[in-house]
Order: sequence, then structure tokens, then C-alpha cells
Amino acid sequence: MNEALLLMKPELIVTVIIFILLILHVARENSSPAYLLNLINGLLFINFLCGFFFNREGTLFGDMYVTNGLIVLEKNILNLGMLLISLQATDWLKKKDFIVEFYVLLLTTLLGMFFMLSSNNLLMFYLGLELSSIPLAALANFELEKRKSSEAAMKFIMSSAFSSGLLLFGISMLYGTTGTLNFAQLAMLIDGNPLQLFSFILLLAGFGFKISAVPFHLWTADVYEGSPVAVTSYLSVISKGAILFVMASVLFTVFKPLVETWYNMLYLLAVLTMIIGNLFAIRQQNLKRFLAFSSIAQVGFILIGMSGSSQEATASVIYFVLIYVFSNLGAFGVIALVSAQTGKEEIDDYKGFYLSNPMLALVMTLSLFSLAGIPPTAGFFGKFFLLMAGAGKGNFVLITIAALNMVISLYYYLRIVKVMFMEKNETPMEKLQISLFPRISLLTCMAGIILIGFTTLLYDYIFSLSTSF
Amino acid sequence: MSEVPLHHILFVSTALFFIGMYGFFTRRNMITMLMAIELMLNSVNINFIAFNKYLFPEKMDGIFFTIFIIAIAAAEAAVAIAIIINLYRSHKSIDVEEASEMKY
Amino acid sequence: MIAITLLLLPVIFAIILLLAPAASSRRIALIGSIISFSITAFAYSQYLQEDFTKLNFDVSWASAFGIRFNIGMDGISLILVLLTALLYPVIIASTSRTVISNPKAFYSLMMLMQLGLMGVFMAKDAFLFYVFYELTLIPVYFICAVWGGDRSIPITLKFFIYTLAGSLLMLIAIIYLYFKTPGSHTFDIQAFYQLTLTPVEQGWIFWAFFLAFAVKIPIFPFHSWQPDTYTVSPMAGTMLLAGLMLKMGIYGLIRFILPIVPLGLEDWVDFAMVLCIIGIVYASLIAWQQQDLKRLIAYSSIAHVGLIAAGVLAANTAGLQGAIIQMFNHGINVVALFFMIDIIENRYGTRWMDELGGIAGQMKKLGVLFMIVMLGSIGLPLTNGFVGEFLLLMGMYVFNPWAAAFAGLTLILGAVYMFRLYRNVFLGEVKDHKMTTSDVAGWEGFILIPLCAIVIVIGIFPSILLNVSEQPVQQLLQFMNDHKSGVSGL
Repeated sequence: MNEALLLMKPELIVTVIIFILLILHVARENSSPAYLLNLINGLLFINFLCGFFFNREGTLFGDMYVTNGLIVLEKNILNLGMLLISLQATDWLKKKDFIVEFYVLLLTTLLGMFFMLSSNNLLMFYLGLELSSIPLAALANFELEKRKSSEAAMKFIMSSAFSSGLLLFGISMLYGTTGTLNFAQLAMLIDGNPLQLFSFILLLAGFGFKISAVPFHLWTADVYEGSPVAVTSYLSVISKGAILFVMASVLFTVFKPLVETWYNMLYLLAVLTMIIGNLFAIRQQNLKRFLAFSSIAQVGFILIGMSGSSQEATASVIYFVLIYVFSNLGAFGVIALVSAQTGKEEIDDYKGFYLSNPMLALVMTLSLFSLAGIPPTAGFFGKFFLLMAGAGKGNFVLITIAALNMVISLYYYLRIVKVMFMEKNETPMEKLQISLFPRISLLTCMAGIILIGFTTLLYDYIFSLSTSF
Repeated sequence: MSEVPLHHILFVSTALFFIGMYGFFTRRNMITMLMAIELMLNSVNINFIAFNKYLFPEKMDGIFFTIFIIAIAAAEAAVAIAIIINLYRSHKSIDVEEASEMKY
Repeated sequence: MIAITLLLLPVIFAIILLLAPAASSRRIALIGSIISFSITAFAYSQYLQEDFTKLNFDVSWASAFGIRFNIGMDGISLILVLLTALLYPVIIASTSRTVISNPKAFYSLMMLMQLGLMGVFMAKDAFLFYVFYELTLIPVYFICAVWGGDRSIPITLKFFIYTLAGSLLMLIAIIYLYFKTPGSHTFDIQAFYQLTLTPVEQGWIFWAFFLAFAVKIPIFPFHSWQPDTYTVSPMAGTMLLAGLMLKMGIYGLIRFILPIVPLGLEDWVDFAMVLCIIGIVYASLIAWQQQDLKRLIAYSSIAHVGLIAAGVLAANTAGLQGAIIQMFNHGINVVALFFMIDIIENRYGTRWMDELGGIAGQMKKLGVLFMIVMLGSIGLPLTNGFVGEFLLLMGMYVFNPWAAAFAGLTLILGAVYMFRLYRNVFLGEVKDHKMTTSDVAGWEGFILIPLCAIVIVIGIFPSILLNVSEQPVQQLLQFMNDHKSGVSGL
């Protein structure tokens, strides 16, 4: 009994936090926002710390739920991201009425992601996926009075429901051809008959929607732009990261027999995603929209690593997502501060940002350099390991395309840096107050960006946890 | 009278799936689009039930899956309709073409 | 130990700089660079005593991909590290006159740059080399863009993207080579030397490396970023670029192209050589026409570096030895020249040739010092430039007499444009301008006189450098020949 509890520890803690919040909400209706936020961030911090202790490996619920070192690590990464986002969002949330509701929904999606990561069965996977995406739609509409916000939520729920439909149809075909929903059994029974290929394509399309790979990316930019900054950063980092983890494990375990087929598909997806993402990012004027396209391009990179289908590939994808958490949240943290205090989100608003807010400009620059993959920031190491994993297949055309895309991406990331540091602004932004929580969060991101690259021990650790292909 | 063969049922469900997909892409009314998605989900339900009954009657996996899909579809519809109502308040319309604040 | 200390020092000083008050930034940076220099001098003495143990440092870094943090110095590295350590105090001291906004950031970036340069010259692991190679870009970009003159933003952006695009090709080549290494793969450069690659592969890899380095050096026709960037950068940035950063490209040619892809080099060397020679003549001719002194030196730098690159591509002892010693000389000369132009600009408020004249009459000391460095730059016997250029041309003569003949034009043209500069600026009539302060001040002399002394000392005793690089150059050529015979034996 005790063991079962420990196995499900991450899920249980999140559930407990959700209940604490709900009870608190009923019992003490007029707690001040500051009190609530301190409490919640404290709880999230405890949640993050707990991820490192008493970890067990094993299965539960008749083999539907599985956990091991790698999955625990993935959950810890998500917990970390959750904590950072929550810290960054304090400025914005202080002015809102529905703090508890916000966190309950957010934590529910986290719970869904945990179940999804631990799933060893397609049913469990589907439940986790839906649990993680339906509340997000509600969150996207969190600013009820804003037109953009409801539009974003509508686009998100429609596309997510549609992609679930595709995914489910694929799953039903898979079930029809094999008679099982268990990952391990599926892996043994898949032989690559046409119906299975069809179902695989549908599944891949479903995944493509969720990670916003081109050509399934059309919802991404609108949703990112319309949602509140905290939700946008959650979508682009946590939600995307979780799905990427699951996608890697599904491809590497369930569809292992079809590796030749999906290699080519991933190749195509990766190339398209990188190129389209980069080309659209160049012309954006809204910073959130810009980061939406840049995150699409990053997914293209991750797909390259994933196409390597090896132990290195798993490790590289996880390592990159970890770095991506830091670099993207560094950028979003700055945007969140600016947006909460001034309401400005356009790139042109950031002209001369360095003069009024040198530290924030520096944080943003480092984050963008890390996203662009310029040494010695962590982003470079992440991209490099992805490239190495992808190059393991010996396809140097793909690697060359990736390198060219790095140059394009460099151009637009530098454009932002240039705007911040070197352009004059008639109406410069005032000096922003950075309160304690966002400060902690940004400092953590900076430490991550600077240090992770050099301490490749972490990569070796992830590598040792990853299973060989 | 013999049983309806499996492939007939699959025919229906597949047709339903693609009708749903077609509806999703062509309809401009949000509620109708939501209904189109429900069609797709229901075709999946038919698939699961049919596969379970015809091919793997000894286990209940497919039926369970169907029950969960129905439940989740309901939840999804609830959230979606709430969002659409909110959208209607600000836009005074439930036509997707009207909701176009953001473009490239 | 020494090697890792040299890398850690700039990092430590960068952190100190960020914490210390802004007023003392320059002094702290100066102290840091002088400590680095003394450690390098110690390394040089260790090397002469053939005690190599302290010069290497090797720990595992990312074992999953066989990446090691492996740094160390052989003779070639040592000379370039010495150059870096020597020029750094000079460059930092040269900023004393200019008022720098936000000096903390400026000098920290300088320190970061030193880390990158030292790292490139010492890396023995290809991945490490790449990381340091790119690391130098960020500081130099900010130094030039933030503290630069008008139009510096678009120009430096072009520079940044240009060089990064080039080096990504190198990254692909390095990854390719990595997967060619036998067993559990490695990024060790020595292991790359042992590879036997087919001529076709070698051709591709040659181009990947060559383009990366050609942009950095820069070799014609990849030079278009260079004169603009030099002109708009602050003086310290220009000195860094011209004196040190472009040496990375040549160093890369020596380390990677010669021993790893000798057959690729053999196939394409004529083409590359022609590019170098076009660059030499073209840049010299343009330098002849320049009115802006800074731009003139920028173009002359393209010519000199083109000659060095050509000497490397000739791939024989004389060429390589000449290239290495000339890299050192060029660094010293170009930094001294830029520094003196800065003095002129400071005194007269202009660096346009037709607005200047007769300076030698007003600033006697500067006239003499400029003459010494200029003669070194032209390559007069008994100055450092003579040794380098003589060896380079000799190496090219062995390779192809015609190539040597055309490249030799650089000596004549160099003399032409430098004497034109000297005649117009230092001699002739005194133009209608006012000198604001006096002749070379004490601290300026403190920088310039040692540099001039080096120009002459190396001219007379070139062996202090040549002896150091002799053995590694022979080894490199040995690798190259073994490799060639190994492949043809297949």
C-alpha cells in the first residue's frame, strides 16, 4: 500500500495541493491575493522539492501506470517549469479575482500531464492528454473581458478537440488490428500492415497538432498571442514539453517496429517545421506571436533529435526540453513583467529597453541567445546534442538544413536584441519594478542558461536513465 | 438472418469520421463545428465497440474506452460551449470568420 | 595547470569587474591582463625547458558523446597565446583616453573575449574549439555594436551573421568527422588526424572548413564585412578584430585543413590560392586609394592576412613557419598602427589623409615610432615583417613560383601605400589644423615603445619564435604526408 502511494507520489502531491486550494477557497473566502500567492508558490516549491525524494520504480493499476527514473525526471522538469511560471505570474495575478481558480485549472493540467507521462496504456494516455488540454482552453480564456483571449480559447479548444478526434481514430484502428491497448504488447504486435500505417499517420497528426509541428501549427500563433502571458508560457514550455516526452516514448516503444517509416515522416515534419516556423517568425511584430513561431521552429529541431531513434535521441530531447524551459521562461518572464506593468507586447515597444531596464534587457538577450543556440549558452549544447542524435542516422542533408535554419533564426533573434539595445525610442518604457518572486524566477533561468551547458554531467545523468532503443 | 459483417460497420464509422472532418473544415458556425467534432468522436466509438464485439470479445478494452470517450466529449463540449458563449458576449456572433482579431 | 589558469583568469576578472565599482574597471582589467601575460610568459619558459606537463589539462566533459575538456599548448598554440596575452594589456591601456559609457560591461566583454581567444588557441578537442570559436563572437558583436560609431548596428549584424553562417558549416564538418572516428566516437583533434577519408569526402570537408575560416580571416571574396566593421568599431574593438580574432581563422586552417584533408587541399589548393592572391592584390590596390587612415589599415590587413593564408595553403615548412611568425608580427604591427592612428585622431580630430599633413614636425616621437612600425609592416630587413614575409614567399615559391611572384606584389604595393600615408600625413606641409595636446604622452610611449622594441627584436632574433614552432610544424607536415600516402596506398 505504502509502495503504491510512493509510486504515485507526484500525482498525489498535485492532487493534495488542488484540494488544499479548493478547501481554502471555501473556508477563507476573503484571503488577500498576496497571502494566497505566497502560499501557493510555497506549496509549488515543496512539490518541486518532493520530486527528488522517495522515488520508486514500478507499475500500478494492472500495468496501466508505469514510473521509472526517467519519468520521474521528466515530471521534475515540469514541476520546475510550473514553479517558475507561477513565480513570474505573481505580478499579473495580484490584480485578478480568480487566483484559486487559475491555479486549480493549471494544476489539473499538470496532473493530466503526469498521468500522460506515466501512461503505459493508450486509454491512460488519452485520459491524461484530455485532462491536460481541456482546462488549458479555459485558462486561455482567463481574461474574460478581452476579445483576443476568448478568440484564442475558441481556437485552442477547437483544434485540440479536432486533433483528439484524429488521435482517437488512430487509436481505434490500432486497437482493431492488435486487440490491445498496452504499450508493450502493442510493440510486439505491430507488423506494419496498411491499417496500422494509417492509424500511425493519424496518431502522428494528432501529436503534430499538440506540439504544433507544421502543417498542423495554424492555431499556435493566435492562441499564444491571445492568451495571458502566463498561459502562453505554460503552453509553450510545459504543455509542449510534456507532449514531446510522451511522443518520444510512444514512438520509441510502441512504434519501434515501424522505425523506418516514421523516420522519413519525422524528417519531413522537421524540415517543414523549421523552415516555416523561421520564415514566419521573421515578420512578426507582436513579441508573443514571435515567440510562438520561434517555438515552432524549436520543435522542428527537437524532431531532428527524435528522428535519431536511439538512447542519445531520448536523452537529447529531454535535455533540450530542460534547457528550453529555462531559455523560454527567461524570455517570457521579461515579457510577463513588462506586460503586467505596462500592457505592452509589441516588439517596437521594446526599443531602447536597455536604457531603462538594463538587467531585464540582459536577461532577455541571454534567453534569446540560448534559444538561437549560440555558444556558450545552454541552448547551444541542447541543439548540438539534438544534431548529434539526428546525425547518428548518417543523414547529413538534414543536418545541413538544420544548420541553415540556425542562421535564419539567429537573424530574427538578433533583431530583438538589436531593438532592445541599440534603437532609440520616443516614448521609452519606464523603469520596471521587479518584485521578489519574478526576480527569483529570472535568476534561476539565468543560472540554468549559463551553467547547464558547462555541466554536461546532467546530460550524462539523463543519458544513463534513458533506455537504449 | 446473419450478422452484419464487420466491414460494413467500419464503412459507416469511417464515413462518419470523414463527414465530421469535412464539416469541421467547411462550417463557419462554431456550434456546428463542435457538432462535427462530436461526429468524429462518435465514429471512433462505433469503431471501438465493433472491434470489441467482433474481434476481441473476450476483453472489454474497447467498451471501456468508449465510455471514457463519451464522458470526455461531454466535458469538452461543456468547456467549448462556455467559451463560445463568452465569445458571443464580446463579438455578438458565433461565426468563426468574425473572430479574427489576430492575423499574420 | 597553466592552461586552465589562463582560461579561468578572464572569467574571474570578468566577475570581479561586474562587482567592482565602475570607476576602477579599467585598472582591474589591466591588472587581469597583465597577470595573464606573466602566466603566459611562465608557460613560454616551461615550454623552452621542455616541461609540458603543466601546459595540458584534460577532463571528461560530456562522456555520452566522448567530448573532453582537453586543452594544451604546442608551439603553434603557444605563440598565439603569447600574442593574445601580450596584446591584451596594450588594447586595454589604449582605451584610457576614450570615455566609455558603462565600463563594467565593456571590460567584462573584453575579458570574455580573452577567454574565447585563449580557448580557441589551446583547444585540443574539436567541439571545444568550436565552442570557443563561437564564444568570441558575442563579446565582439556587443563591443562593436554598442560602443561603435554610426551605422554600427546594421554592419555588425552583417558581420555576426556572416561569420556564424560560416562556422556552422564547420560544425557540420566536425560532426561528420566525429562519426567517422572508429570505435566509440571522439572529438579529439589528434584522432581526426588519423582518419583516412576518401578524396570526395575530403573535398566537401575542405570546403566546409575553408569557408568557415575564409570568412573569419577574411579571404577574398568573403571580406566584405571587414572594412566596414573595422571602421565603425571602437578602437579597442578594431584592435581585437584585426590583431587577434582573424588569427583564429588562420590557426584553424593550420590545425584542421592541412592534416585532416590533405587530399581535399591538393584538389582545391590552386583555386584557394588564386582567391588569396586576388585578395592580396585587390586589397592593396584599394588601400592605395583610401583617404581614411583606419580604413587604409583595414585593407592593408586584408592583404597581409591573405599572404599568410596563402603561405599556409602552400603547406611546406617555410610557408607554415612564415605564417606562424607573421601572424604574431601582424598582430603587433596592426595594433601599434591602429593605436597611433587613434593618437592622431585624438590630437587633430580627424583621421582623413587630406586634412592632415606635416605631423612629423609637430610630433617628432610619433613620427619615429610610426616609421619603425611601418617599416615592420612593409617588411624591411631587420624588422619583424621581413622574416615573416620572406619565409612566406619562400614557401610559396616552393609551391609555385608564379604564385610567389604575384604574392610578392604585396611587398611593393605595401611599400607604396604605406609610404604614401607617411608622406601625406607625417611629411609635407602643415595643414590648417590645431594640435590639441602635445606629442606622445608618457603612458602612450609606455605602450608604443615596447611594441616597437618587439618589432626590432623579432627582426633580429626571429629564432625565439621560430624555434618554438619548428617541431610542431614538422609534426603537422609529417601527419599530412603520412595521411596522403596512407590514402593513396588504399
